[in-house]
Amino acid sequence: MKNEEKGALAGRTELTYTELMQLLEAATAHLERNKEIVNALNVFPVPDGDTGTNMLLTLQSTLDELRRSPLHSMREFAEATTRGSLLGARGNSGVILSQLFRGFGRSFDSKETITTHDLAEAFVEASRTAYKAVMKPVEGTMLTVAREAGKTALLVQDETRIDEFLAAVLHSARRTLANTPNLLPILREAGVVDSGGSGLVFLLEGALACLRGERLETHGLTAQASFDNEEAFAEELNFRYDIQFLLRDCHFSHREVEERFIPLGDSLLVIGDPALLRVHVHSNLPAQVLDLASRIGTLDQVTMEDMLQQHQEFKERGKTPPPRGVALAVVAAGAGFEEIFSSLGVAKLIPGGQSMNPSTKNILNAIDASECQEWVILPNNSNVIGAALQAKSISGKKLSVLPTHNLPQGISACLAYSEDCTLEENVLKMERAIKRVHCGEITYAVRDGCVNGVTFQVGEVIGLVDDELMEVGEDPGAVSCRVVRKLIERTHPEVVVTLYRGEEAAEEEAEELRDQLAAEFPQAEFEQHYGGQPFYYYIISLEE
Amino acid sequence: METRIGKVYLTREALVKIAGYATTECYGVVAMAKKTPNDLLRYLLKRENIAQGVELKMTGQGVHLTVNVILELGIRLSEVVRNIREQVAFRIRSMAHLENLSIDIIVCNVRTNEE
Repeated sequence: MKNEEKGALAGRTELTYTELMQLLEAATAHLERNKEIVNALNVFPVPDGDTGTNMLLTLQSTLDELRRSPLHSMREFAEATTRGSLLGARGNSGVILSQLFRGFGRSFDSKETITTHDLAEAFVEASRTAYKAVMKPVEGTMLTVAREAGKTALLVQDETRIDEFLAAVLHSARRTLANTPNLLPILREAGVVDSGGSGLVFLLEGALACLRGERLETHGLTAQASFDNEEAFAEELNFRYDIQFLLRDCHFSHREVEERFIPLGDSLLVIGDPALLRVHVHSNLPAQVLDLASRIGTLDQVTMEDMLQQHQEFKERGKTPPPRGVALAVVAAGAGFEEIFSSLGVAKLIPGGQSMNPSTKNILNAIDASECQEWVILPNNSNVIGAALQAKSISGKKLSVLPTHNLPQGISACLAYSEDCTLEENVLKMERAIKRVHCGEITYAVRDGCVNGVTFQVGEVIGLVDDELMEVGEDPGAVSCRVVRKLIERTHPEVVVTLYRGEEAAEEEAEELRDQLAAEFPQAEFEQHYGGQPFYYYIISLEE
Repeated sequence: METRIGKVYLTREALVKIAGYATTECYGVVAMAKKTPNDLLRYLLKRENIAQGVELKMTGQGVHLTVNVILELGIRLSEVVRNIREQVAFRIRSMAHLENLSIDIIVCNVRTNEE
């Protein structure tokens, strides 16, 4: 690919299709870096935290199609973009993106190169096409961002320099994005801007940076626990992913292929002949490995395994009890909770919880690693239930998912479990048990916002009662007291309350809190255990 | 549905409307259709009659919904249909707290994008 030196496209007034493809690649790479941010903003229409992933997968499919197709003209480029994004569209945001591309490429058909006038028309056509496919467009979403970007593009189309033109469009897209909470109340309540819209802004940023020859870094918002996990693990195992694939029609020799992959990982193995090569590599950069592979040949039968997962299973295998009739698989985080669950006869612990949700594959791997044929899965987090249900629908074994929304429900369910009962009997007993449990959670706010009429700011301690935000304060102990009061009000005074202290709460403080509560509620019984969970100072369980 | 301070009754109409509006907000849905008695003809519905594009059945396992839609041609139908299902289920779960829910989607027609 030409024009790769820094700033080679700066100041240009027209672009060829290869250069457009470069921009698209840069835009995709920038979105990939910021995927987690986009995911975290996802509250509408369904708050499942996958907007960034969906947009990225759609774009990757588009790029794959572009690389696969023999491109000779702008028309072919536009067609391949439309086809690739259509076939790879994932989720709501992906489908909208594919419609945007479809409109975007329409006006390019017969041209050799495109100017700012063509781009302006393309932006307008993109938003028009996208709007056509919806009966009742909701404002304050990525559609709004696309439309406003189109309007600005029309206004500034007399600017001949493409980088200046795109900068103006980006500016308008950012401004519209910042305004989305005023258009869509649910965004304002959650204190976020629209996720799909922010995805579009990242794409434009990536493209503009590529035009100007700048390098972009991630925005500093991502304090994601999953990243910490990877780093901690990297010390033990140098490369996380085991990647294998077939490479067809590759024009390089073994050695040339090897030389290209060596910088990306180790345990490299290249076998076969140039018409059909099998490549095996361990790497931390799976996207780059596959990207490189797709550039030098046609990719087929890609398999990728997470060695971190395998490694943990290997470590766990030693303490797994022998297979029985019905086994329990539990998703939990924190050393204390893991110990508690193990002592309750849980066959498989799947590490995960808030902001480190295990995937369907993680769950399946855990279950397939054991001989046992019948399982009850306790997700212990609302966000994990979906993955568990999916595991149920794929797995060859007999699985039942008990939708536990939090760890206290999980513990009560385990207490109700009996080895001698059938799967159905166990599920029934466990369902009854979790209905008697109420849960309080004390954590801290990761962003400013307002939910249920309670406003909170970043870093403040927040208290949840049965998954609903009820209390805000400065001190975890004080908030815990108020949460326990609410929980007891909801039930009756003669209850058993258990405090599980997280990794950030000191034992003395927890003891003090327990004594204080015991004095306030003499009819209730209080216990305190080490849970070791991240993010939550305390998880409070109350049983009627 | 029982709450701490009394019972809440939801009518079929309410559920059907929630589902209908959730569907029309889905990207890719350009209209809803109505099932006629002989099951062959399906009418395009005006916006105020959207709820007629949703059929509701109570079964032993819970609530079963059938949603009749007309989609835009040239977008990935499988994804749009999945989105509708997710969106409708999410709305009903969050607004009505109904868990046992199954949703069938009938794509009655597709609309071509007349230029």
